[in-house]
Amino acid sequence: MSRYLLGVVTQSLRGGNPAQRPIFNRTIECTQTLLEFYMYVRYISHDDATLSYMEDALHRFHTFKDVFLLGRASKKAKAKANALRTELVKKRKVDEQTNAESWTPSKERHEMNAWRDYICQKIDISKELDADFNFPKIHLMSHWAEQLRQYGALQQYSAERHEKAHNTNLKDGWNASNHNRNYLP
Amino acid sequence: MAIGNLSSKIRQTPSTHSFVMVALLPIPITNPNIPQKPLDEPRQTNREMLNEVLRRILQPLSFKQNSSAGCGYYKVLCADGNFRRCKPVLAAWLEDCPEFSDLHHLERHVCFRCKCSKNELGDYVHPDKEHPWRDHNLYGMLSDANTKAADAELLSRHVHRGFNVFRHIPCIVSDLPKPDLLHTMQIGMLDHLQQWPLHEDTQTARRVKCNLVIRACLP
Repeated sequence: MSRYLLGVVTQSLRGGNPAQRPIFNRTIECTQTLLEFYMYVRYISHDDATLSYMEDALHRFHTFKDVFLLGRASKKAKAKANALRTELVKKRKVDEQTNAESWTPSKERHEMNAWRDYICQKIDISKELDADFNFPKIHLMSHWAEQLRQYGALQQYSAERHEKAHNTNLKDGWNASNHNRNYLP
Repeated sequence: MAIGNLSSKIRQTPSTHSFVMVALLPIPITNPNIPQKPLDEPRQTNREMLNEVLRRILQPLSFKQNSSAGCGYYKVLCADGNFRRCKPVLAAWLEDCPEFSDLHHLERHVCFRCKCSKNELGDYVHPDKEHPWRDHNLYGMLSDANTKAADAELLSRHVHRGFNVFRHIPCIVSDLPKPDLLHTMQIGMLDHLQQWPLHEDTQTARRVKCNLVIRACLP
């Protein structure tokens, strides 16, 4: 995944109008810094310089991560945003009925667009207010520099190998059995 | 289980049997005929069972240490036929986050290494200003005290009550979990990073999704 993720993101977020450009740039930057951090973590040997690069990459990731706040919105926040949307749509209809006589078609279109932008903006803000990055894995990365200094390269601690060893230890036996798990000998 | 003084070349090869399976942890039988209890009760039994199994596995570590005969050492028959003095120390666990929480008797979604509070997990921690480590001996004492004040203290630190093996073994408990690249980065953060842009119907999401689909078609 680390091989193609940055390529996909940079390729897909080329161009764009001036309003989208800052968001795109921050998205690319965020992806790039996390991958950079991952590359530094996987070094076989470290010195103070590489460790400082690593911490710097992590720091930059934390400054850029806010772009993804919308993606972190919980189900609760989404439900709240939907409620807000219905409320705003009702408000819009009331507004439409009261001002219907003075509107020409072009003005109506303009008003509708303004309302739509307003509603979208409000919903995004309400979602972002409730979203946060409070999950353990993002916090664990901050301990790694210290652990690297104490215990050496982190490559040796990857769980890949003994997850792989599960195959021979566990799965072969399970595949040869009669797959009956509710049995007490 | 593996031992510490293996070169990483040997340890990283599954065919050398460097990792030995010691035990399979039991899972309670789910019987559809028995009505489901409220969730807290089976979880408590699960925790107790897990700790009982681990206590039996790790018994040599905790009990030989206390015997006055060898001041912490005991004799082990080695492959060359000689007896050697051995002092086993538990050094590392490698697992995913939920398993760590279960092993350490913590609630989910907390850091099992330091005293970081639940709503500060996403913040950047400056390397010089790290939170203090969790003190598992204190938790053990509070859990044994069995008073209301101790329970409230445990609850505020997101710790479950009850017997935990690690508090009775000579090791630094909050230092046991080692950084796990597979779970934290590859199927943790990088996976999130791929999912985050796709969550909402924005311009970014549409563009990235389209390119990811193309990427999936390529070899």
